[in-house]
Order: sequence, then structure tokens, then C-alpha cells
Amino acid sequence: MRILVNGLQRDVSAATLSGLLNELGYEDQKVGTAVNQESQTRRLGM
Amino acid sequence: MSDADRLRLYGSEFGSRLFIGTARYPSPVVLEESIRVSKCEMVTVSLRREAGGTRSGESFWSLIRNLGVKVLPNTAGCRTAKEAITTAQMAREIFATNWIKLEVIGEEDTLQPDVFGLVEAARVLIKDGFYVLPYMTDDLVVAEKLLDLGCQALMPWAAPIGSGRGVNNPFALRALRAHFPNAHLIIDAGIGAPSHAVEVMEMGYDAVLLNTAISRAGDPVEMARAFGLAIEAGRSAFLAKPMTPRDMAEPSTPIIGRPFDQLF
Repeated sequence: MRILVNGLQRDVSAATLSGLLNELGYEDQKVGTAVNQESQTRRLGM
Repeated sequence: MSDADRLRLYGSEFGSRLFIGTARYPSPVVLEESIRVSKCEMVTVSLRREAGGTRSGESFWSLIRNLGVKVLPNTAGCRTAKEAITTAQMAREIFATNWIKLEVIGEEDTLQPDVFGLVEAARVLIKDGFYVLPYMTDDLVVAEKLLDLGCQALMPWAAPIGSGRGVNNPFALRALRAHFPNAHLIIDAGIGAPSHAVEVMEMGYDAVLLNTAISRAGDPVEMARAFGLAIEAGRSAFLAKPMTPRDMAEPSTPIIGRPFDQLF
């Protein structure tokens, strides 16, 4: 799947936001996320 | 600074009335030392946007956390109310604070705040439980609206961000201070030299937030020390009630009359 992450195109295989964070290398880092300008962090339980 | 003169904002107290930004320092060591010598107790930080593959945000956050100062996240770089709201919500999760320095930029050349977007975003964020510190122009009407929404502090500019011009419109800043004597007013942008900071503190502004004047100085650490001293000097001068300027001379050493105003 091709997505834009902060303006950069990325080809990823993850099907969930949690999976995407792992795939991008942020599994052990506190991050904030938004999808289409909607904050998602709370939904991840972070 | 006496305990009685400590700055109280949203239930927190600050011994220093200088707040510092954390961007564009030559190195992490210089940033850390600048904050330490300035005696500042709150720093503002922006969200680092990453697209994977780097972990620069993590090391920066670790540095800030170890400074032991309060963190004021900001929405720098946001151009719409929606973008600022989303950024504030993400910042709350990352930095574990509901404080937010709200910026909604409306014009590219001056980075002037979009005050319409600012009021809209402040309304949403205050309802969502945020302690909002809005970066604004020196407009009285906007100030009134933001205070009515529940902002306990306003952050008017002295001049455009990063310009270092000092106070562009002293009349407007004096008017703002006079109109809202009980609001916390913090000068946020345009300060370039310690003398500018003294000027606004002497006007009665409660605090100053600045970044570039320190981070881009030839010697940021020494400039941070100078700003710390300037803020204290300006605050003391304000509390001491400066004399009223006169158009004509008045002898400072009268040869007739009493040597003191009060008899002893």
C-alpha cells in the first residue's frame, strides 16, 4: 500500500496504524499520530 | 525575585519571567547551557515531524526532559485552525501536558497570526481541556475574545517572529496592557536584544518568550544570561514605578528648600 507520511511517499504492508508504527521503526518510541488531520494517538492507547 | 512576585499561570508558579524556545541552537550542549544560565523555568517545544527511518525527535525529547523545566508544546508551523487543533492533541499525548502555545499562522512574509483561526482553535481546545496560550497580534478585540473564551494568558507579538526588531508598535502594546490590567500578557515574538525585553517588562508585561535572539546570537549562552538579567531588571523597574517624563528640566539638586520630600 502506498501512503503519504508527513509528505513523503512510503510503500508499506501494515494494515493497522500500530502495525505501521512498528514497520516505520517507532515501536518503542512515544509518538503522536494523525490520519487525514485527525489525531489518532488516544485510539492507539499510547 | 521575591516569592510574592512569582508569576502564576494556570495554577503553576514561575520564579523566572523568561521563557525560551528550543529551536535552531548550534548544539544540544549550547541549548542546555543557555537554559541553565538564563534561569528560565519553562521552554517551548514543537512537534518534530518524521516519516520513518530517523529518530531525531526521540533524542531531542530526552534532552528536554532532562533539563527539569516545564514544557510548553506549541503548534508552530500550523496554517489552519484544524491543523493547530490536531497538532495540539498530538502534543498533549506526547508531552503529557494540557498546556499549549497556540499558533495559527496567517501570512507568509510576516508570519502574522491568523487571528480568526486562532480564536476558532482556542474555542475548541479550551472545551477539550487545554490551557491555551495564544500567540496573537496586539489587537484589542482579539484579546477580548480570547479572554472571554477562557484564556488566562495572551501572547502578543512585539514584531514578526525571528525579526529581532524589538517593539514595532509601543502604543498598541501600552494600550493592550492598559485595557487588560489583570490578564497575564506575555510578549512572544520580535525581541532581538535584552534592551527590548527591558522595555516591555517596564511597560508591565508579565513575561517574555523568545528564541532566535538567544539561539542565533554569536554566543547564545552569554546572551541567555543577559536576557535573564534584563527580564529581572525590567520587572524590578516596573514594580519600582518609573518617574514620569517631563518636557522641561528640573534641577536634581535643589539649592532652596528641603533636602528630602519627607521630613524626618
